[in-house]
Amino acid sequence: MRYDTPGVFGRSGHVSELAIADALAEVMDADSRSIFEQHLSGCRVCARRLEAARAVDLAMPSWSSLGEGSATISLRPRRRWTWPPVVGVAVAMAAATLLAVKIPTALTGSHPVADAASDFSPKGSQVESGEGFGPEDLAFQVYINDATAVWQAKPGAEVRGGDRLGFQVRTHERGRLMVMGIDDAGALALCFPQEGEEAALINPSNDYVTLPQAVRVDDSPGRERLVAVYCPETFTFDAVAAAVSTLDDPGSDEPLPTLLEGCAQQELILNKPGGDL
Amino acid sequence: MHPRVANREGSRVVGGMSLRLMDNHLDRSARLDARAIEVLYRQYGGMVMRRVLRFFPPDEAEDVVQEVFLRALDKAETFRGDASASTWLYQIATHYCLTQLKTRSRRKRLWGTGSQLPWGSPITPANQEAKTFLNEIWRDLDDEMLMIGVSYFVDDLSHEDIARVVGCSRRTVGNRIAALRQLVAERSDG
Repeated sequence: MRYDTPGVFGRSGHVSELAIADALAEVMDADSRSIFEQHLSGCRVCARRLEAARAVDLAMPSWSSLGEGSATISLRPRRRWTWPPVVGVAVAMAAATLLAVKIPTALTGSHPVADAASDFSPKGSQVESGEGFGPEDLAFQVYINDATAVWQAKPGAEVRGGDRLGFQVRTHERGRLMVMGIDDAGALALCFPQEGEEAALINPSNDYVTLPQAVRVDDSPGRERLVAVYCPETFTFDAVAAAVSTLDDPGSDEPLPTLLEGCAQQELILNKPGGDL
Repeated sequence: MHPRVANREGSRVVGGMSLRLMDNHLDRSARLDARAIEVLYRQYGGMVMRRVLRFFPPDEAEDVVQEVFLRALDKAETFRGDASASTWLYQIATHYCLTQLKTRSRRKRLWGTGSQLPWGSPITPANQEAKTFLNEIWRDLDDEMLMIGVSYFVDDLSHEDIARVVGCSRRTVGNRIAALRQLVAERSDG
């Protein structure tokens, strides 16, 4: 069946908003896609528009959380802080107050992986065992959406309560991914995947892919270290929490040591004004 | 599942006809339920958000986006099986936003907010036709003329795409745009 699809260009000669939408939704036919990409390769205005549109897609809340307002989207962490007995209640209470990233419901529908739900699966078949991953096996990017703009976070970037964080990764090996926020007290917040107990299955890609979930930053001041851990085989949040609990100084300015042996690990530290930094 | 979707879904049947996503398009022979809307939202939520941010400030945008998709659910019967979902949602989103703007008498935001958004079409304040349309003309137009005018002056769509959005012939679009441009010229001269 041939669909009556929009044209690529608007009347000004730039690509139209409808074309950008279809390109991001990956429903453009091959001919239109070719024309679209050819134009973008020579038009900085439209290339910026596409990138900005992609950033909006990235920062979209999940359908289930849409329209409920910030107060309800910014949920309390809905899952477990697994503390070893030695850490005790005091640290757990500190985690509750210092928790820098609250876990909202899933943020879905982000391009360039609008139909890539199959790429992200909290559970599933085992990944083939290999020799382990190194840092080069994972590239990790964080985007900040403050409701007026979306931009890629640099190390030390400032965020404020209510900002939404989205994530992109690029891998060349099939593996399992988990993204966590760790505050200076060592409290963990699971950012991706937000369901289940295990890391999500990721298929290799030449381009960055957007994780279909994001988190909303809460109002508590301080620093948040966002850590992506990528392993050839599945692992659990509890395994990472146990590794973090052994750290002498989780609030160190230095990059964290490798939390799980044989896994790639990338991190980015964000600051929230009013904290110690 | 979002409760509002559940309520809508449970309260109505679209004349036995509903939709589903198929090959990245909507197929009217199937069923548009809460799940389909969620998939549609995942694909086109960003586009609708960009559309809504043309008209509304960010703190209202999420609510408006939700309303747009709920209206899409209500208007399932208006979807043509051979049309693209982007065109269909663009029409619903634009119509809803303009209706709300009329209702709320917040017309000036149509220009002021949209012109500052980085993801908007490449219009500039130097685009005098668009400015005149937004400042002086749009409030007096009927729904079809308004949709055509916004699609043309603000969103930079081609005649062909406007015809798809509005659901009329390209010739009709051309005639309407000629009339609108005449109005703009008269107001500019006046």
